[in-house]
Amino acid sequence: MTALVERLGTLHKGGRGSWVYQSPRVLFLLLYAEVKGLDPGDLLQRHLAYVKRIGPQMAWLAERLRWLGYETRGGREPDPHKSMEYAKRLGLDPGEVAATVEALLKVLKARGPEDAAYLPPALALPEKALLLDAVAQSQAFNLRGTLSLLAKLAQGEEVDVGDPDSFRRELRFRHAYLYALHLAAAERRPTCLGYALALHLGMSHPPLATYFKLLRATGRLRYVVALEALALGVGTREDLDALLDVYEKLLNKRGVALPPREEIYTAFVGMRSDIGVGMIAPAKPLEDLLMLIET
Amino acid sequence: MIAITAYEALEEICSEIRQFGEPANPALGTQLKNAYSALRAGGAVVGFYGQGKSLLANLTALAELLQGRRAVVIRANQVLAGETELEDVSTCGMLNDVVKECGETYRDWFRKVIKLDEGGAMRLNCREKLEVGGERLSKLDSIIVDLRSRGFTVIVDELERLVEQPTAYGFRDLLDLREQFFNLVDRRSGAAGFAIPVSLWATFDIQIKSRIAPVYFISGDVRPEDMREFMRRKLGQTPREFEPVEFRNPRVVAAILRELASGKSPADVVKLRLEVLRALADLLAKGPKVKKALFIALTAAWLRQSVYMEFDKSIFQKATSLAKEYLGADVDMGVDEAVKVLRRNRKVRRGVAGYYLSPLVVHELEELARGGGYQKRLLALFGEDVVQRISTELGVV
Repeated sequence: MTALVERLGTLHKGGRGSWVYQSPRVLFLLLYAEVKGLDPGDLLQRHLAYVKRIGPQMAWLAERLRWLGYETRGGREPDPHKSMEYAKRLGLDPGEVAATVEALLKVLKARGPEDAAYLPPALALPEKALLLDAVAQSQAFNLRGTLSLLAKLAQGEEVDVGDPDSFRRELRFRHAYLYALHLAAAERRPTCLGYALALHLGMSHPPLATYFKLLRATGRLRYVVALEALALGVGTREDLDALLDVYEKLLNKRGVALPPREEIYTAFVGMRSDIGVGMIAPAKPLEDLLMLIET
Repeated sequence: MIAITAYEALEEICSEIRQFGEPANPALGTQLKNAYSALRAGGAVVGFYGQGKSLLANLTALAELLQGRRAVVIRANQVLAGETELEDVSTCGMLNDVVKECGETYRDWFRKVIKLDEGGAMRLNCREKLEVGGERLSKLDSIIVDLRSRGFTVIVDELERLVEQPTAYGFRDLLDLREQFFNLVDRRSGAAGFAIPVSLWATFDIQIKSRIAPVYFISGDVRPEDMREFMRRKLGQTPREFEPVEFRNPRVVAAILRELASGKSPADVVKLRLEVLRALADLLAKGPKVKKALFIALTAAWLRQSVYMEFDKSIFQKATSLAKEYLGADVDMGVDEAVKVLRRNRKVRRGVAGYYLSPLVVHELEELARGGGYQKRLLALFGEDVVQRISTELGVV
């Protein structure tokens, strides 16, 4: 029996300071910096400083940093110059990543490309689509294999892990990516969405279209958007519409569509302010949203 | 009495803590915990009008005072109007009163919600003169610097006034206010906490938002169960009429409690809503069957307190029986038939886990809230106050 890591492929060699690539957000930022000619080290530093300040009141994001790949025990000074290597292994096109990040920054009214540092640790839907498309096709990531592995581990099945160190490393890395895509739960098992996607992948169904179909059919899609709106600081109907316009454009490019606006609005409640701005908030309490998405 | 201003609310919450061991609104504990950590770290609470930003700001200051630290909530509008005495630009006097009248009661509750350092309660000298210099937000800046140097935790409130009338306060427009605000938080990152209305938040770019972090959005923690408990505690029991309503906005609950306190019965309150909804349905649909069905759907939306959310057949059922109970047999219609009629006439669409009002109906309701559409006709029937209230209760954006 071949060791699992060999079957999964090597993604995350664990070189000095490469722990930071466990976060898909960080990888996206560093790729953006490379493409735009920004100093990746500087951008990363400002991003990590910002993330520290999101503080306990945004507890849902702060609590999830570990699973989003931000924290590590005994991690060294992050190395900001390996993003291209990771993009290659994951099958990500840096140009597309940069274009997606740029479109998001525009709708968030960024003052300049450096403002990318202030994107939240969680990815936005078009970024998730890009990432899913890439990892589903990346042999090194082996999406279906990784989901099956998580399912086996969750069942308590014995697996031949080979070298335990590299196994842990690979699993941690993949888990953060799957978690960011809502395919894995915090406790390292596939979510219902993850199980369902694995089933479809086994039938060779197109990954991205299936992912979106499942997100919508399980009622998650609108709540994922609600959570992202919260993370991106979108508090008005006008801003939400602008954000959804960008989402739509970017997703259409990848051959998937958003459901009708009204279906997404069902995840929000609103109130009109005295000065005519339509204010919105998620219709369900945050805890309920997270429980739904992470189940 | 039902509270409206932060001051009245602080008095009332005090008596509620004495009675229930916590405020009647159970969501307030979580909100305070989150707001306290954000405001103390020089972040912000962001919320709708009436969601309780001022209350959370003052509770945060109060918690600081009870731990022996100086803290105050600054009224930005007063500062810009040229006032220079602490008494006039802040809630100093009110906080002193509350510490005196109710400090220990609040301490008991705060202990359950936040980690409280031991210490004697602090009384502020409200007659202190403050160093104010510059123009517009520079005035605010200089007051923040001055108070910080005197060891104060500073929270800035009443920005809503500036947003509503930027020119009256010397700003060219809202964007000018935003830019000056950016300069302020850029220069004084973390020096003061801010209570920010969503109307101002909406103008911010990602960089300003990141400067203000940590941020707490008040809206995330209000559950219909909490609102029901709020009502139950205030009235001794939730009136049967309000059992099926999913209140989401404490202000809406408070307004209804006020109506009840003025002598209306719960049945009157509900009946008035249903009459407006029926008039609305009559305006928005043609044909008696469609009108009836749409009335039921609008009632369902009122039960959810949102025209955007989905409603399933069980809510339809509740809406049907409510409508029948109050407005008699002429609105009687089975759930399945109502759904069929509504779908055939494109008044609702099928969603993921139920139905939602079609874009056309929602659009009409939005127009109404903006003063267009059928507003004039409804106003003539019910008056402005009622129409405004219903549109708030329907959560129309």
